Amino acid sequence: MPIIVNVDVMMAKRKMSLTELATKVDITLANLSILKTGKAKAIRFSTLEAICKALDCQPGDVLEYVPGETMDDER
Amino acid sequence: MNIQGKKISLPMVLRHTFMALTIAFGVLTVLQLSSYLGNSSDGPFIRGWVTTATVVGPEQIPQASTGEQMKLYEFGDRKLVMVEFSDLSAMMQVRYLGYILFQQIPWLLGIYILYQMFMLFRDMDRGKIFPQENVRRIRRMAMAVLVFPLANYISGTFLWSIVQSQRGQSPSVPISPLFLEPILQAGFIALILFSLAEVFRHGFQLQQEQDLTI
Repeated sequence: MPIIVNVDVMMAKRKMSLTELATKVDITLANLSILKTGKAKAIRFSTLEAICKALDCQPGDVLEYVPGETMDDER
Repeated sequence: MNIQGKKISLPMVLRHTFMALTIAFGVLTVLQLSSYLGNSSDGPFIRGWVTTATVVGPEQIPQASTGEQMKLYEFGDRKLVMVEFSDLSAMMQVRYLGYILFQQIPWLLGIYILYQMFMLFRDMDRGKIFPQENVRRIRRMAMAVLVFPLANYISGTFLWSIVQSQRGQSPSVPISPLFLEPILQAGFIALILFSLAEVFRHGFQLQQEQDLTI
């Protein structure tokens, strides 16, 4: 995926654990893990908003576009 | 609808219906096979339908020397063939065993299809509407439907060869001019099932996308 999810970087900066973030964002650990490992196909605005609120950051801090990487189409 | 605190849904009803049908078909197949092999009071026998141009009936063709007796009953264009055997050893010929074997295949396919339907509705009952396995199940069912006329054709050929050998006729008369019809019917059903499998494949992709949307 050319879109990289940097949730783990922000979590390290804020010294926040996975469980803590999952509780604050109100999503399951499994879903947060999918997001963290880059397996997610899409992210809802509501989830992004909750993550930004919990980590006190901007969407750009969590998501990064890396040109050159091909779209990993799993279909 | 609720029964004993349990919500009754259509997938649940269908799941249990297909389970019951699978078991019923299994029991019927075993019963049929055991009656052919002589576990009933009548002794070993085979029976089946042929459509012929030359055979007239009702008639009996006794062949006591080989331990077989054929009876033909006429029902319009179709004839019910019944071959009774004095004992099981008289039945031990390739054409009889081949006929019995290929006559069981549609029954076994029926059990297989019903079982796949049961599994499909079991998953549906558990809330899994579009798992990838369902795509494979529907494709397997379509394949099984395609085998139906083939197995019927082969068993019909065996039965026709039995009729020919008993009557001493030349085997040039076709078994049935209507054999194309079941092939077309099965092909049509298989086509619908393959199309349904494609819909389910698309459903699986949407489901996967939905599951991976956080």
